[in-house]
Amino acid sequence: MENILLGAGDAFSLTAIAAVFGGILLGYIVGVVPGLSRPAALAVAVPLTYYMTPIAAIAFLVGVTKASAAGGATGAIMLNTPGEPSSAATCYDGYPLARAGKAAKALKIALYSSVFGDMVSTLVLIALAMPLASFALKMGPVEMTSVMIFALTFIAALSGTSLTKGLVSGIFGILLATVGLDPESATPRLTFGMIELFDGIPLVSATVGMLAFTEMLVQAEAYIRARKTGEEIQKMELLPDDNGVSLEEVREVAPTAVRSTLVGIAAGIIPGLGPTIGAFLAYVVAKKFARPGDRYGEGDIKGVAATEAADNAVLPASFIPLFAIGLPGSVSAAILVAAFMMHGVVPGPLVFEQHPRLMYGIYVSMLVASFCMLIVGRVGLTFFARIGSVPAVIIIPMVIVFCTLGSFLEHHAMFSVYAMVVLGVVGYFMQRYGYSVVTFLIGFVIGPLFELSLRQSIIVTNHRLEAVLQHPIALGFLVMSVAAAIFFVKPAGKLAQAQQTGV
Amino acid sequence: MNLLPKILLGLSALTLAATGAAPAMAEYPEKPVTIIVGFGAGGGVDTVSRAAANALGESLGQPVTIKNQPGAGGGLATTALKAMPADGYNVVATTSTTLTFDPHTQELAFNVDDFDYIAAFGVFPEALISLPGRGWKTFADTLAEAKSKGEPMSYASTTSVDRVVVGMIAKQEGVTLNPTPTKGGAEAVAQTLGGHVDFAYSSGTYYAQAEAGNLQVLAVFGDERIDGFPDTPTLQELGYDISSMNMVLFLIPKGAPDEVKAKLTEAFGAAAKDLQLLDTLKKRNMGSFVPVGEEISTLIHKQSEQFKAAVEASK
Repeated sequence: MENILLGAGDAFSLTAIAAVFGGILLGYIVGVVPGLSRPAALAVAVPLTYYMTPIAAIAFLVGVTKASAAGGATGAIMLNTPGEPSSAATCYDGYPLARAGKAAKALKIALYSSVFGDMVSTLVLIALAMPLASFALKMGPVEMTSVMIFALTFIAALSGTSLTKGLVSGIFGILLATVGLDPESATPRLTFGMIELFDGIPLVSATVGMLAFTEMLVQAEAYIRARKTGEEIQKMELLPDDNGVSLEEVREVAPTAVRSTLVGIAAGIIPGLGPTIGAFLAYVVAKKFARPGDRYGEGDIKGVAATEAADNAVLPASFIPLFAIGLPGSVSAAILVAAFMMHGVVPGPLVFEQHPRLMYGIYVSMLVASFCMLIVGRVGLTFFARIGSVPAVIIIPMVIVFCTLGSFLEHHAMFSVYAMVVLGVVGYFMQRYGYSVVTFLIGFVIGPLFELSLRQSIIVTNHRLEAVLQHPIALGFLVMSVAAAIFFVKPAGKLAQAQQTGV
Repeated sequence: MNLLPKILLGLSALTLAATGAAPAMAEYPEKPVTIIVGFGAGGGVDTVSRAAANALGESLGQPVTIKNQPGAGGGLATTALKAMPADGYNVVATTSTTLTFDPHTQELAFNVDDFDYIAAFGVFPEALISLPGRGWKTFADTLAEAKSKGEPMSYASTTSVDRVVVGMIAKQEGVTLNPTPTKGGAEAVAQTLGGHVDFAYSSGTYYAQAEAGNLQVLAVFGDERIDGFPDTPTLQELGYDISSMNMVLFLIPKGAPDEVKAKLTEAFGAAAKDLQLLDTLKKRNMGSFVPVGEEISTLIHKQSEQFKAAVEASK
C-alpha cells in the first residue's frame, strides 16, 4: 500500500506530469498528421527518454502510444486519410459525417470512445494483469494460427460489394508481405538482391503510401477535374446546430463502445494481433450487431465509436504480458522494454517485487495519460474540425510532405520514401478500379503473422494435423470460425441490408 | 578605380588563410563523428553505443552523434558504410555476427575483409533455456532424452546463427532438433514458458525469467560462463568445438589513414574504461569484455573462419 501511494506521488510529480503531457501532445500531433505514424514517432521519442527519470520516460512513451491512436481518427474523419492504419475503418463513417457538416460531432464521438476504451483497458491491465498474462502464454503457435483464421473469416465479411475484388486485394497484400527473408531458412524472397528488402517492404511505407498518399492522389485528381469543368469545389462547413453530442446519442453509442472495448482488450491480450486488426474486428462486430435504421458506411456515429474504442483498448491490454511477467507482446510493449532497460530496470516476473514504487507509479501515470488525452483532444478538435475549410491546394502538398518525412524517419533511408511513392501510385490504380486498399493492408499486416504461426505449428506438431485435437483453445477458435463463416454466407434479411450499406 | 588589384589581393589573402589553416584541418577529427547504429533505438546495440558516446566525444574533442539505421540485422547500415569515404567520420555499430556470420549464409554486398575493426563492447549472454520442470540440468541431459526417446524435439530459434550451432550439435549427436522460427527473444521465451517448444535459444531476454527460477539455463554459447549462472557449462565444455560469441562491434570502411585509425582506437580504448559504459554492460548482463584495436581485429577474422567452417559442417 505504501508503495502504491509513493508511486502515485511520483506519478503526480511535476516532471512526470510534464512528461505525460509532452508525450500525449507529441503522440496526438503524430496521430493527427497523415504520413507521420507511431513507429516513426517512437523512433524519434525513444532517444529523448535517455535523459529522463525512469517514470517520466515510460510515461512519455505510453503517452505517445496512446495519443497517436486517439489522434488517428482526425485525419480519417476530416480528410478520409487515417493518421494511423488502426483508424482506417474510421473513414467509413467518419468522413461521410464530416461531409454532412458534422465533423465536430464525429471528432467528439471518436475522442470520447478512444478515452473510454483506453481507460477501461488500462483498469483491466491494473486489476487483471496476472491471470490474463498466463492466458497469453497459453497462446502458442497452434492457437495463434486458429485465432488468425478466425480473424480472417471476420474480416472477409468486410470485403465490400465484390467478394472477388476483395479477395484479390487481400491476397495481393499477403503476396507483398512475403517479400523479405524466409522466416525459417532466412533465404531472401522476392528481394531482387536489394538488402533494403531483407526485412520486407517497410510497414510504414506500405501504410502511409497506400492510405495517405493514395488518397491525396485521388483528391488532387478530383480537385483538378473540378477546376477544369469550373464546378464549385464543395467545402465542408460545420453545421452550427448539430455538432454536439447529446445524452441520447451517448446512450445510442454506449453498447457499441462497450462491445468494441471488449474486442480491443481481447485483441490486445493475444500477442502480435495489434490495433489495426483489433479495430477492424470491432467494426465488423458492430456491423453484425446493426439494427434496422443503422447507417453503417454512410455516416453512423456508432461506426466511428466502434473502431476508435477498440483501437485504443488494444494498447493497454497489449502491455499485460509485459507488466505481469516482463515479456512484451506487441511492438509498442517492446519499445517500453527498451526504455525500462535503458534505466537499469529489467522487466521480468519479479519486477513488481524489485521496483514496486516505479511500477505503481507507471500505472497511475497511465491513468493520468488518459485524462491528458481527453483534455488535449478536446482542445485540439475545435481547431481540427475547421480543416474542412482549408483549401485542397494547401492540404494536399502538406500531407505529401509529411508522407515523405514519415516514411524516411523510421529507417533513415530514402528507399522507404521510394517504396511509399510506388505503393501510393499502385494504391491509386487499385482504388480507381474498385480494389480496396484497406483490404490490401489487412492482408499485408496479417500475412506475415499468419505465415509464421502456421509454419511454427507445422514444426511443433511434427506435421501431424490431428495434433490440433490436443489444443482446446485452438479447436474452440476453429469451431467459431466455421460458425462465423456459415453465419456470414447466409444472407439473412438484416445482414444483407447491413452489407449493402457496406464499404 | 581599378578593381583587379583588389581582387588579386583578396584572393592571395584567401590562399594564405587556407594554407595557414591547412595543418589544423588535417588533424582528425575536425567535425562531429557519427555512429550509425544498425538496429533500432532502445535495443542492446543502441544502448551500448549511446553509453559509450559521451566518453568517446570527450577523448575525440568533437561531439559523437548517434543515428539509427535498422534493417537486415545490421546489414543495411553495414552495406551503406562500405560506400562511405574512409575518413573516420562514420562508424557503424552492429552485432559482430553481422560481419562474422551473415556473409557465409547470405549473398551480401560486403564481407569481413571490407572493414577495419576498432572495438567491441560486451558479449551478449546467449544461451539455451528450458522449463525447469523438464528436469534437465544442462544441455547434455536434453540431448540424452532426445536420444533415448528417439523422437524429434522442437526449439524456439531467433537467428540463423543459433540454427547453425544447434544444427551442428544435432548432426554430431544423431538427433533431430527442429528449429521453430520466432520474431525475437521475447517470443522465444514466451513459447518456452507456455510449454509450446521443448527448449529455446535466447540472447538475453531469458535472464530475468531464469533469475526468478522460471527457466533453466542449459548451455552458454560463448567462451565463458555467464555471471549469475555459474553451474551452466559452455558448449565447448560440453565437448563441442564451437563458440558463438556475439558482441557490439564498431567498424569503419577499410583504408582510413593510420592516424585516423590510431586516434579512434585510442578514443574507444578510453571509452572502454568509462564507468557509464561498464555499468550499462553490467545491467544488460553483457560482461566486461571490451577488446580494442588489433585484438578485436584478430578476433573478428578468427570468428569469421570458425563460422565458415560451422556453416559448412551443418550443411
